[in-house]
Order: sequence, then C-alpha cells, then structure tokens
Amino acid sequence: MKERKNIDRVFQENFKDMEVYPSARVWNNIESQLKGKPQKKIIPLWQRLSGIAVIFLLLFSIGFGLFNKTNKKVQVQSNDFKTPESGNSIVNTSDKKSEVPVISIKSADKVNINTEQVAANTKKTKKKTEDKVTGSELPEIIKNIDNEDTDLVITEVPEVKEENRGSLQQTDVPRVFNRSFTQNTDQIAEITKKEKGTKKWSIGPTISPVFLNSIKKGSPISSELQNNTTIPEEALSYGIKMDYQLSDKFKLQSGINKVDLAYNTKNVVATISSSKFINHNIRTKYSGIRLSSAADKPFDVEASNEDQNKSSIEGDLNQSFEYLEIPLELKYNIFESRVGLNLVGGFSTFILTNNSISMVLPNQTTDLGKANNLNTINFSGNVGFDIDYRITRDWSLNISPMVKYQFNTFSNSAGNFKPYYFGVYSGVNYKF
Amino acid sequence: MSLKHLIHGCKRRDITAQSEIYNLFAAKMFGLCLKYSRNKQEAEDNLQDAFITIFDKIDQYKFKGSFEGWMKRIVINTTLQTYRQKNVLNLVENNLPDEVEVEIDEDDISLDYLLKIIQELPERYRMVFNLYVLDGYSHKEISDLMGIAEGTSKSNLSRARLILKNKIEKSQEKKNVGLFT
Repeated sequence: MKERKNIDRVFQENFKDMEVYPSARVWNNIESQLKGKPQKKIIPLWQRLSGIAVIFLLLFSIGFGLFNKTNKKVQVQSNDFKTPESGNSIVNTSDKKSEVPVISIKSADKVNINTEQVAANTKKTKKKTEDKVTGSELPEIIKNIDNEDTDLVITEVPEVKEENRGSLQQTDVPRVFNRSFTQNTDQIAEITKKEKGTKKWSIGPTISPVFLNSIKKGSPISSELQNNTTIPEEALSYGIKMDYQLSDKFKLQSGINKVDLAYNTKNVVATISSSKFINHNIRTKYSGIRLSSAADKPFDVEASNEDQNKSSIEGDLNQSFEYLEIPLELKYNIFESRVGLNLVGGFSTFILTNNSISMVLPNQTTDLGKANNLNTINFSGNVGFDIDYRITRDWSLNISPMVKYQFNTFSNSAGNFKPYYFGVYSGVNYKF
Repeated sequence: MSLKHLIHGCKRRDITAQSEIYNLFAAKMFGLCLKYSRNKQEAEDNLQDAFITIFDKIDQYKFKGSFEGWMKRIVINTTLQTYRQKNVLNLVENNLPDEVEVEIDEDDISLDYLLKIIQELPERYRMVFNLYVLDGYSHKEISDLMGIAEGTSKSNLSRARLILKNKIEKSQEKKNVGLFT
C-alpha cells in the first residue's frame, strides 16, 4: 500500500539496528595486526606463479631447441682407402636398421687424425694439427672436440680384419660436425651419429606415501587452535610420471597424480552451539561449531551461558584434502651407470577435488564439514632426489624422495600454517 | 564474562578478550560501515581499520557513556578519513526543500535496495545523509567532522534526499508499468 512518507523516516526505520556479518578475513587481518605481524593480503599469488610457469616452459623449449642437434658426422679421408671389395682397410658397412654407414676401427689400430679449426664467421682455417693415435684413444679425443668449428678427419686407417672388428660407438662421437672443407677426398665414409636414444620419452606409474605438516605452528581452521600441536597422518599419492630427455644431463618430467593428504590437530574440543562464530573456517551443516583448544577453558560470554547444556567432544581434529597434482620438474643427472643419481627440482600445480574436517576420537569419527578457506588451485615448489636402477635397456626402477612446499593453499590462514609434504615416490618406467 | 571484564581484558591487550569484543559487536559495526562505504570490500577495509583503532585507543574509554556509542564514533571517524582526502566541489545551493516526502510502497522496497542506493550516492552526500539522518549528528557537528561549512552540509543533505527520492519513485514506476502491460 502506497503512502507518502518522510524520506528520512524510510531510511531510519529500515536501517535501525542493521546487522551484517563481515567475512572471516577481517578478523584475521585485525588479529595479525594486533600480534604485530604483517597482514595477509589476498593477492592472487597463483596469477604470479602461472606467469613463472610460462617463463619456465619458454626456457625449456629454448633449451630443448639448443640441445637437439642431429646428423653429426665424422669425415674419414684416406688415400689408402680401398673399397670394401678389395677386402682391405676400412670396412664401410651400413647399419641395416637405420641405413647409416658405420665405421669400424679396431682399438689397437693406429689412425691419423687431422683436426682443423675453422673460424665461424670467416671460414678460414686457423689451426691444423696432425696426430697419430690409436683407435682406442679416438673416442676420448672426439669427446673433447667440443667445438662446432672443429672437424675431425681420419686420414689413415690401417687394415681391419673382419673378425677383429671393434666398433667406434655412436655414443663416442658426440659433437663433431661435418664440413666439406677438403677437396681431395677419395672416399668419404660418414658416420652419422645416431641419437643416443631416439627413445627420449619414458612413462610409468608411481606411488608414494605422503606426510603433511607445517613449518610453523598455526591452524587454518581456527585461530583458537594456533598453538595446538599438529601431527601428519600418513596418506597416499599415486599416478603416472612421464619424462622427456632434453639433453645428456637434463630431463624434463611431468605427469599426473592423485594426492590425498591429511593431518591432525591434537587436543581439540568441539562443541555444537547455536550462536554463530565468525572466526572458524568451516562450512558445516551444524548451525555453529565452537572449536577450542583443550588447553584453555572456553573464555566466552556466550559460551558460559549457552554451552553448558550442549554436548562437546574432545579429541583430534582431522583435516584432509584430495588433490589432482600436475608436476613439472627438471631432473639433473649427477652420475649414470646401472644405478643413476639425479637431482630434481621444479613445481606442481594442485587442483582441489575434495576436503573434509572431522573430529577423531578413540572409538568414533564425527564428520564436521568442509573447510571454506581452501583455494581450488594452488602450487608447490618441489625438490628432491631420484635414484634409478636400469633393469633392461628400456625398463628401469626408480625411487625418488621429494619435499614439496605448498604456496597459497589457503585463502586465509589462522596463524602461520604453511604446509609442506614429504613423500618417497617409487615406480617403474618404460622408455619409448 | 561481563562486558566490563572484557573491556578490562582489552586494556591488558588480552587477545581472547579482544576477539570476544569483536564477536559481540562486529556485525553491528559492519552494518554501519556498509552504509558509509561504496561497496562491501571498502566496508570491510573500514571495519578492519576501525577495530584496530578501537583496540589501540581502548585506554581512552573511561567507562563513561555507552561503549557501543564510543565504538560507533570511532567507526564513523575511520570511514570519514577515507573520503576526506578526496576533493569535492563546494556547491552551496539555496532554495532547497527541508522536508522531502516520497511516495513509497514499503512492501515493495527491499533493505538491500535501500542500501544500494545509499552506496551509490556521491561521497559527500552519502556521508552527510548518514551522519544526519541515520546517526543523529547536527549540521554543526558534521561541519566540524568533515571540515565543510554548515551551509554545505545542509545543501548536501537536501540533494541527497532528492536523489534518493527520485530513485525510489522511478524504481516503483518501473514495477507498476510492468504490471499493466
């Protein structure tokens, strides 16, 4: 029904004693300030980190591009070269598998090597050296010729008997490039370097027990519980790991894991109360839950009046999270033989799929609800080791203890709860 | 724990007492902030600053007069500070009506809507309207608080009333038109 009313009255009546609840972050910031610590600003950290992720990917792709050279050749020139039919001298065979000619030199044979260094810009030959070396020394020498501008020419190779054929392994000719600078070549046999592994990829399952804890004390559930002890609960991570060989020493690894993490806060009292409390970060079906440390007795105007008749339980407060983790790490090979040791570092992206908060007592578990301050997407920085044991050429076993420190798990946090978790990832991989 | 005890606790900088005071009064103070601010985010920032000031200056409260009233004044001062720095034109207009009436069907108008149109008012008008109409300050007090002339305060109030009246009547018109077409 319409009426004419003084506008002042309209507003006065409607706004009389208006009460609205602010969000939890307000108290958290006030508390931080009162305790003399810097406030937590909700800057979207994940935005910054995704920028870093992009930079990482760019760097990797550039690095990958630099390391990825094919078709390295060694030019062999000899005036004594005789065709294979004559039965003497170098046997020029082709590797049926890849149709690449292979040079075979017996280890005791002496060869002449001629190295020339060509300046890149001027294409003038600068230094020429001539040496006589044994076939077994050849791989070492070739390895040391790191320079793109140096070519190795084997000028004289003595005869090789079929049955004594050793072979100059492809792996011994890492970085020597072919330049056609000699005009008088009778016959040139080319060794084309086959990539050490065209099998750069490997994939395999991994599984790990994981232990979650925080570097400093604090509680993301309630500021009342900051000083309570937290203990990790054993949980599981399993998934698929994939890696790609960037270069001799570096591998890029990624994959996808399902991670279940949990920890317990000890000595917590939970009471169901009808009054609404602002500082707990739980979304619950109960009208209000008071959480307090068993160490302090409840210190509250309302609690002393209302909660005497309400039930309360004391036990451990369990918080658990389920995430999908996508790691992106760089693996640096420290040494490699049948057993290899690698150093791993990188970061992971986590996507929250589930979480729950419950009270755990000796004979029962009560589900309280879910946390409302968990970020759906957060990141971690990872560091650790990887030990792998080669079973066959394509299969290997690996064990990798890792520590992952999570950033931005919570959109606000009571206290200084900074979670990290430790896991020992084991699995098998298959190269392809 | 009585209020008196809690206040003493705050004077001792006891975090538990401070948190209880917050629990008891935050909702009401936030309601106040919402009216003075442009949006929820600003209101929260103001609330935060206000409480920090309250806990900081708690020693100045000598149990004379209502504690809630004392806190309210701090909250209002905090919100005013945010807007005092901004430069606003000093328009003084005469011949503005003192009493403004509005045609209103109160069943149709929601609290949220009223809050929204208040938040939409230009800064100074909003401050003056809140201080005078909702929190009972006189024009003299407003001019001291805001550093403006009394006349300016009066004209700001009138203009605020007119804007609000127009908005309310327009929004009701729209609804009525909807009914008949």
